[in-house]
Amino acid sequence: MGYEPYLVQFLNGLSIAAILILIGYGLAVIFGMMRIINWAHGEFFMLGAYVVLVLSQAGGSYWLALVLAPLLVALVGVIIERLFVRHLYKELIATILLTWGLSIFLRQLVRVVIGAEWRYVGNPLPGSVSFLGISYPIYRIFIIFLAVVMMALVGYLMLKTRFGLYCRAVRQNREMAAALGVDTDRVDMLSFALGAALAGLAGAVMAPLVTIQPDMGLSFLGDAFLVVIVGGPGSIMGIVASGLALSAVRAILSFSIDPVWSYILMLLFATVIIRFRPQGILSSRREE
Amino acid sequence: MKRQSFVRSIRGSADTLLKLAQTPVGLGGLGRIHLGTVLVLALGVAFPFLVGPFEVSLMVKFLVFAMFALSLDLLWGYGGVLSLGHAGFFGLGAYSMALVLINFPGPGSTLLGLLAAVLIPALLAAFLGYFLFYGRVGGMYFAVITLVVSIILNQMVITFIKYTGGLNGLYPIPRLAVRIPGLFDWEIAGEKTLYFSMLVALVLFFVLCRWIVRSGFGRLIRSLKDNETRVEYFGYDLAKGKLVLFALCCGLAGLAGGLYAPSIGFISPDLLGIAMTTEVIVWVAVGGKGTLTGAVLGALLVNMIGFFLSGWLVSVWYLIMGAFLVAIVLFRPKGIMGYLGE
Repeated sequence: MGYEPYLVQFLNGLSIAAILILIGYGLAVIFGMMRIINWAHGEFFMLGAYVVLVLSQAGGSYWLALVLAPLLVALVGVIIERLFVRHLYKELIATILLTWGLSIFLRQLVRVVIGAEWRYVGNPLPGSVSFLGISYPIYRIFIIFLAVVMMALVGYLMLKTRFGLYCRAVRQNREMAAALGVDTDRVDMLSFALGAALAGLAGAVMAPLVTIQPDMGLSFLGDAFLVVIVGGPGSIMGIVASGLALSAVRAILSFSIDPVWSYILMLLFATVIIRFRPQGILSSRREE
Repeated sequence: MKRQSFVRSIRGSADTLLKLAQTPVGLGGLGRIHLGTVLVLALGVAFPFLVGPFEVSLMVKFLVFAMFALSLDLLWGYGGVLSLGHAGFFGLGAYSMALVLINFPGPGSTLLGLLAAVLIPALLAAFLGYFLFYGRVGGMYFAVITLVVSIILNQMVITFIKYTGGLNGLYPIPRLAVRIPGLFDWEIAGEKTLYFSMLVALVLFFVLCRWIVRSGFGRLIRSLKDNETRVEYFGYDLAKGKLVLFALCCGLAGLAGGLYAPSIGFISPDLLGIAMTTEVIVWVAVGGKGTLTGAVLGALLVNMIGFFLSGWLVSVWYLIMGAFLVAIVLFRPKGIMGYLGE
């Protein structure tokens, strides 16, 4: 056996990591900024996929849906933030329960309005490319490419723009930022929207590869949370690193053993990391 | 104006009722018990004679759910530790019990099963707790890890079809039995017998939880919720307290699961699922967390309402439940008991 199967597995792991990092990014933006754990994040992902589904059934183009999904989901995010989440900042368990309730509600709403059936959308980039002796689906390569572009964009937004500066200021010291004239309320709303948009984008990207059904967000949410926890919510590079590490562990293991066992071992790996590096794998110091 | 006075009169009569319910009744040498408790118990005893067999067997399930809710209330309501995978431990208990009952029939299998149903979830919880609490993992990380653990348990049950029946679940599961060879052989079957044994089990469960809450350990866990730092300054081992509490509550959840399997006779992977965890959280939140009574009340009430509603509103029921949870968090964070106590 040559290196080819390993290369395929490596690329599979990379494209899974790309998706996890996209979802994890959104979670981390929301958590890092507002200290809120958004359980409805998986539902933002699900809604993104459903935007693609509904639009493609109406005969629209996939690429249009890919642009619309993040925008529409961001709108849902803004509505949720303004109506509910805003009232409960700083109450960790209350926000967990609140977003948990919203997640049940959104899932059931989709089930009632669109239906619980398993659905699929066609692959917008069928076919494969051959290189290095293997042939690999173009669409998965597109996903990896898109994730890299989005990482660069979010990194730019957070580190080089005024909005990013405000975000970082609010995260470090909310009161001080407010005293210096940062509209923290607006920063909260925009970062919630940004987080939702990233999840919606991830959902739209994943739509052609998975079964679309109302509970699809849940399975991704668990993984994405692990990525954020292991990476540390405050660090963009940490999330990238942990997304890659966890996906690698899983991809390597699922090559040789049952997927359930590889899942269990990935959780063990994550638990051990959390035990010894509570602030994320890349951080050198403990915050708080 | 009119509405206000109406509300006030309702409040007033509720107050009078509460005062009446709290009238102590002497029990001879056994101490005292509230009049309300006596009434509720009387209603509980009379229940199977007032309704049909279907409602009785339904109520058996709800009684077990009330025990499950108590185990979460102890953990979350008193200790302030929210687990989002509590159903995983409940289901683990149920599967442990069922597997013991099916594979090791004969005398002592009920006892062995219950032991497994308590110990296996408790040990898993102790293992997780060691890594999480000593790693000073905060509330939200803990919630996530417990959620993932329950997802994994669910996946395992679905995957290991040979033992667990996979998605089809396990059926039939032998009944609970008290057997002493040559002396005594009593199988708990028939809905009324089942009902009364579960009612007794629930009362014992409740008394046990109340005893834990009022013990020195109970004071420690309640203080954890209020001010962790101060508890530490007083020299208590915070992580150890949480670890013991978590293992204890998961063991209790497992016990509830262990009673569920033989009394219902059928278990499926749904028992370990996220939906189940959601439900138990809703029961406790609706009833009012940190009161024990609230957990029982919430479990019975929400399930009964759910039963009546789901008759014609199957798909809408979860919609209502989600909205309900949101509304409670926003407007009535203390639940029914909190509202009554105001």
